[in-house]
Amino acid sequence: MSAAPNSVGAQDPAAAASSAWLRRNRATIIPYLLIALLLVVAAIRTPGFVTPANIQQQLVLASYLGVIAAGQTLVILTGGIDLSVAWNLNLSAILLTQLSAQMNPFAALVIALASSALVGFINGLGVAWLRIPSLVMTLGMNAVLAGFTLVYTNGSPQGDAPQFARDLSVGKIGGTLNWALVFWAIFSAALIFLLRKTVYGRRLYAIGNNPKASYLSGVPVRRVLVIAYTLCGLCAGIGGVMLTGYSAQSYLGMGDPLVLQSIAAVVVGGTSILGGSGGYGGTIAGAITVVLLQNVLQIVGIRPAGQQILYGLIILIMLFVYGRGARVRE
Amino acid sequence: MALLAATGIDKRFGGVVALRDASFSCDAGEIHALLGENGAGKSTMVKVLCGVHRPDAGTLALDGKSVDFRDPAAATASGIVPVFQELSLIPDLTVAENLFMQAEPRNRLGLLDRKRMNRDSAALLGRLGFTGIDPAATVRDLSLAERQIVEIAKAIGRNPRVLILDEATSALNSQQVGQVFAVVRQLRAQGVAIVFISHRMDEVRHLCDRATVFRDGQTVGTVEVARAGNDEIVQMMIGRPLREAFPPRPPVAIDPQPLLEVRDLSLGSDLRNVCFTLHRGEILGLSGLEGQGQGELLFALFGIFAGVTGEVRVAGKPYHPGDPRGAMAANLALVPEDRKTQGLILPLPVGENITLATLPDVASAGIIDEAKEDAATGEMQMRLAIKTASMDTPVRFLSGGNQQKVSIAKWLLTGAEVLLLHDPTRGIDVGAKLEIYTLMRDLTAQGNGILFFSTDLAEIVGLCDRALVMYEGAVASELSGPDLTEANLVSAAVGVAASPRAATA
Repeated sequence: MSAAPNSVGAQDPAAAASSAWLRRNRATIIPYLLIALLLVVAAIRTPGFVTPANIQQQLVLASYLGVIAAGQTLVILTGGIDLSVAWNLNLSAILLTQLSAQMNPFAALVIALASSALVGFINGLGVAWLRIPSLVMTLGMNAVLAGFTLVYTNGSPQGDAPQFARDLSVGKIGGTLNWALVFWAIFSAALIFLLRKTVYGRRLYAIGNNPKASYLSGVPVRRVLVIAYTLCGLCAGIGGVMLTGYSAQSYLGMGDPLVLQSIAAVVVGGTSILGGSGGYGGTIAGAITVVLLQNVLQIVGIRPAGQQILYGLIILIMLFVYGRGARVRE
Repeated sequence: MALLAATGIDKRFGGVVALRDASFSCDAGEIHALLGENGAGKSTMVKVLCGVHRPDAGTLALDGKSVDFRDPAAATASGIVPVFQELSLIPDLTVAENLFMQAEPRNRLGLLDRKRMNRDSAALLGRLGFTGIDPAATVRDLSLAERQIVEIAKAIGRNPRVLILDEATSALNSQQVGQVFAVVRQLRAQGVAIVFISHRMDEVRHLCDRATVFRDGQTVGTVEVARAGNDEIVQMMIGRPLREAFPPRPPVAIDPQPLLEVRDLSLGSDLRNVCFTLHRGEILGLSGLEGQGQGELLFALFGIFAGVTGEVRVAGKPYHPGDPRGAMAANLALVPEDRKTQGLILPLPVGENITLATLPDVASAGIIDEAKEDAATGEMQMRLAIKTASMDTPVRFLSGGNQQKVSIAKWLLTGAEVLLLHDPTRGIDVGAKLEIYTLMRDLTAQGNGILFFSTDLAEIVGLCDRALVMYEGAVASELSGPDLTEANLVSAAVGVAASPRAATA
């Protein structure tokens, strides 16, 4: 961060360095400022909102979104987008509850997660090998999954969430700290490590910035893409398990709000929708922002339709804010 | 009085001077050639004439009256119509729709009169002698040559007073060229001025009345084509001193075993039966006019193109170009033409760019070993004298020369033996150029072989042990020793045999 650029034309180097610092960190600063702002609004409106217990509850809700948005972060870093997270997480949730009634719940878990990862893998093949735009590929996949789950469940999913899923989502260690938060912390550390410290992470950023130069440098572009989509599917699957544990059941359409929310979390978290810059640190803040926003809007008395409108507007505003920065640099 | 005259034109792009006090004029009823090496300023002059670029200084006059074209449409409205090598047709529209773009005939209801448009198009194409092109055909379905003819027809359909043909016949076969020439002569007889740019000297000789030669952005002079010899024209094109000093060429200890052998490498019409060998310790130059297949050859060897045929051996072992990873496994490296889009990932730090091609070497079990990476990038920074505040600085903040060094450093780390360099010194300052020359010599001294494409003839002559001159996708001639001169390179590049050793294509 302290590295001043070598030459930036006529700009004053100190100013250039500080503006570079701001530019690089604006991504993380903005969502945390938003979180603070939302908490202040909530505290003024409903003094009982800002309590340790309620904050923890908000973070637990954010953890479900955070895990799903993790996969979305990987895909968006490559310059793509995954719209199939909605029904992919629904698939995992349904498989978990239905199969748990017939077999060992852990076997059901493995099948559920493997299925979601497989869906992501197929998305990846379509995008990397058949060069189908990710928007179209994953939108189509979403429709296929919606139809498949409808047929598979006959319209009403059976079974309940197994105990371990409930523990993961709503259980507390010693009655204080939520398992979901512990899991999210470990999960986040692993993902940030993957992005920052591994060969895979380096290649992901390289491809997101410039696939042509990456290919010419011997980066296995297709493999990296397929892995990103597969991991995104797996994250959706884990998110599905967590949401099932939270609501104790699975139901059709439970993933629908999560597409927009996961994209919002990534974008609010400062990852460029064009790929190549950003990271999971920002998405964590983005997920918390989105969840807080939803609840603050609720306590301020805005109905779900209004919340949807505000989500959409916030995403567009964030795209404008970040996108403008990118254009100015060109 | 000249029909169109440009006087004292200056044009700069950033720090690069494209034209300096350049002048050009043509009369009604003449065919006037523009000649010069790559980057001599011909294309910039043409773009000034037809309103694409506005000059920084100097005047344009049409019929003796000063004009200032704000945009290409203004020039076209004054009767100056260009045809460029890069096609301007819209592929998904029909021939007729393209020909009548923005001048579509309407019927009484104000709707498009397609029948009349097709009829007029057929008449226009027929007048030019190209009856084989269906006005209702979609441009996408036409061959490249047919598209070029439609492009020319579109320009002629606008009844130009000055018709500019910038490499407009490059895709045509000799019969089609003949037909276009017949039309051009007809236009000349009608008093149209034609500005003609071609890299084929025989075409210029065959067609043109006068020729104006450009060099380094300046006008060298105008000659009557019929009275000037090829030697005189070539001399005008290159007559400049060497601009850089080159490192001494050590006595070449040629290894009898070739490092890279290429036999009959072909790729559609882009590469035709290219054969050559490259030895350890050698810098083999690739020359010729731009776009004669040199870039394709480097890309083909690096495995970028599908459909490459022929035989390649690296250090005696057969190698099939498939993809960059395969090329890297065969010890090849490619420093591509455009460092900003192909060679580097500009927003990423210098260090990450340097190790991008060798990440597995600085990692264990997929996890980057920062000590190893720092050692590798530090070594490269020392060896190439890369000037950067730190390895974490985004590479886009570096100067052009230092960016190019980063692009090269990435490949040095791979330990490649065969280096394919695509114009590595274009657009960088003289000091960095010299450093890159010295580096190239050091690398060959260590037993590497370098295939070096440059658009700068002085570099080819000053640096290379041998040079291949390419023409239309084939190796037109090979020059070495005392024959490796700028004059011979130019002669071979434009398809004129000036040296006894220069074979014909």
